[in-house]
Amino acid sequence: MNNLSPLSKHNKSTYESASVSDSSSIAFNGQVRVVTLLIFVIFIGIFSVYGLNFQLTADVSIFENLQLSASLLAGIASVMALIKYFTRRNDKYLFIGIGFLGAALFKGMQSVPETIELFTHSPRLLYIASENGWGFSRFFLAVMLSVSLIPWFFENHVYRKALNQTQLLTILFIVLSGIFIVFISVPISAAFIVESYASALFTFALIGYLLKKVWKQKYFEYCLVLGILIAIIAGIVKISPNASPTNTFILSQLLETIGYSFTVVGLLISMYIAYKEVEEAKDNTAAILRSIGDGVFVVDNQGIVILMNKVAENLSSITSRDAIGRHYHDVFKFGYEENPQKPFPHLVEKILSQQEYREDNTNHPVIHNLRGDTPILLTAAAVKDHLGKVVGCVVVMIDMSKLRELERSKDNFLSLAAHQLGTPLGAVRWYTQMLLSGDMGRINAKVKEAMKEIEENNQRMVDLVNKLLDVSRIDQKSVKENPKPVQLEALIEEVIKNLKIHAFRKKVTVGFTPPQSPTTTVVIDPDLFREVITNLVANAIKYNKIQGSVHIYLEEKTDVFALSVKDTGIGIPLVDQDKIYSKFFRATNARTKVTDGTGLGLFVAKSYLEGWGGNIEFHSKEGEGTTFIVTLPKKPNLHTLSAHLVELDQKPPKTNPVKPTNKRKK
Amino acid sequence: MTSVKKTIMVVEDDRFYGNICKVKLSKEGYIVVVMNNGAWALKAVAEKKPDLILLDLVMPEMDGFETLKELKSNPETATIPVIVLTNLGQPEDVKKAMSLGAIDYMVKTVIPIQTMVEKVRSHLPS
Repeated sequence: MNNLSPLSKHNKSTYESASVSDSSSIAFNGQVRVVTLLIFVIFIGIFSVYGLNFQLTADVSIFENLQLSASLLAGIASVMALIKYFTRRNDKYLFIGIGFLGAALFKGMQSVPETIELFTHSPRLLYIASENGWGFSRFFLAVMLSVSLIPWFFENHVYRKALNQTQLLTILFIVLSGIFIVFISVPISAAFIVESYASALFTFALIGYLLKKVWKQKYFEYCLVLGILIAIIAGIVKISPNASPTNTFILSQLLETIGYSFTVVGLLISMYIAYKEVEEAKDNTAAILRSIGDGVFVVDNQGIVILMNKVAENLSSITSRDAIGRHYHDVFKFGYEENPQKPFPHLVEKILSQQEYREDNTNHPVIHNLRGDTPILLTAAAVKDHLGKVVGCVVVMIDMSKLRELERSKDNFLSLAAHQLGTPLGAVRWYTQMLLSGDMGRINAKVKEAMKEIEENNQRMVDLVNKLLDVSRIDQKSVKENPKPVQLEALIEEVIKNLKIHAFRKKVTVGFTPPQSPTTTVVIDPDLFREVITNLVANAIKYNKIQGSVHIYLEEKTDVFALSVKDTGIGIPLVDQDKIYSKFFRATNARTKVTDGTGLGLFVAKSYLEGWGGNIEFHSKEGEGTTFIVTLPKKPNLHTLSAHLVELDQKPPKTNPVKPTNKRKK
Repeated sequence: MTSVKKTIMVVEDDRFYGNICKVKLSKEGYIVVVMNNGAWALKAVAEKKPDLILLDLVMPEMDGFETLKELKSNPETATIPVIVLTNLGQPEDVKKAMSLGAIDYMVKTVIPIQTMVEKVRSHLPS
């Protein structure tokens, strides 16, 4: 079933806002049209039969005329109330609608001439009803009007507290019995009893509607109250003893007709007001949609664009006049910033088939337009009707250009700051090294010791700056690799050698168990991989106990290398275990026991490893130690740029005419 | 072995680095000329005829890449070995400098000063 598109073709402008403002109105079409049509058919049927009656009998009395009008009015009131029920889903209107429908039918039945014998063969009850249509009509309406108050009683908190359902029914029963007893005690006709009941119930409904208090504010309720009042008077007139029964009947019927017309007028006014409100709401919704600073478009369940705002026009470089009615694929060209060839998932189709659309973390979506590509953030949600059926999809596109620019300037700042910090730090290092090597004259042992401290602390700052640079590159996704064939054992031995001084100071022994046969070489950036291993082993030493131990195992498996670093250190507290890979995070015990540390090492290690398609995990017990297990594929993923670099590597430098071959001669 | 001192030109805008290179390399027995930017270096190179150039990459006005390109495009200066001494440590910078004709590449914050001296010595034409 396609609820949206046929409408969108005929009436784009009015429909577009409604589909967004009130999803239930999307469902308004199907059922309501059928029900309304059915009711109209019934009435057209009744009145054609009735009209036939008029044609056949030349003698049409005022009474019959009035009865016809009353029946007609009740029919109109019924249709209107039922329409209101279907649009507003307010049960009150359902009961009122049924009430008037019944009233109209009973009245109509009585007017049908017996010669047609439409009801003579129908069930007994219907026959009686048609015979006493006048009374039944009013009685039925009165019952339904009373019943229409029940939803309100249960919606209203004050009354719900005061009365529960049983109590309410008891009260109703007592009132009815009271009336019944009063009337039963007097010998009267059946019509009289029915009429009395009807009047009593009308009174009950009147009191109810007056109690609701909204009758002063709402046109419909106001007119209904007046209508009921007139109906009561009509009833009293009818049952009052009078010399001339015909005149009484006519007067009563006249009053009833007036009463019905009041109800119809009330319904008309209230529908007009509702229509006005909807129109205003439509205007408002359209205005709100236009004013949204992000691109918004809506498609139906076939993917056809039925609505889009100015920003969406801007992002797609297509005006809504051209876009509406076309498939969204032809209007919004999505792609990936990093990977233009990669097919973009059919997000709308996924939403429409109630699948999950998951954002790709490594690739940023862009929209192609006349200006090139604009980075965007996409969110899509299903538009559902009141039954929960997906009838469309609304897509929001947030322009990320500005944000991306900001990010870039932040990243640039970080890398610039790190570079600028690096320069003086490097100079300090070289001066210190020069002093230490005695180039500036001999220095005594104490000064030498102090100079070494300076050098070491300087080195710490250099390391920190380099780590910040690593992080900024990871964030900018600009990690550049220079892969070479690497023998892992040699690289690990190198790391152990570099960290020897730290291990020695903490009296930590560092052991390494390489696999029995040498590992095959792996093509990877040695500097980045060294960084990963250094971070892990340095942590294992740093967060160890005095005289603890660190052991590194390396294994070669079919597709991967497995490397584990096992320490006897302080361990990672359970509460911190899910956070240790976050940037700048340091476990509580790590912070208190070892003061220096950036909280960047594991973040960097994990980022690099995952970039290669590898993985890092750990198990740890506080106070006993931690084991980190690294798996690295034998063929790690390499960046496209890295592949380019490898190519470059194999070519000899183009413009280097005097590359000396005797590098080491002197 | 000749007793003539070798001349090394240091093209470096940071005066501290310029100074430290001068002190250290003089100590090692070289004549050191420090130039504050690429344009001056290109002007001076004909006159000073350095045996080796230590070149920074990030400099105002004329950066190291451009200077390197100029040096290598002039037949008179193309034969002078150029070692890049910089803070830019990204592989793409290394590749770029090497493809432009640099003989070696050193990242200031990574190598110890002694290594710098050794590299200079090893790349000097005998």
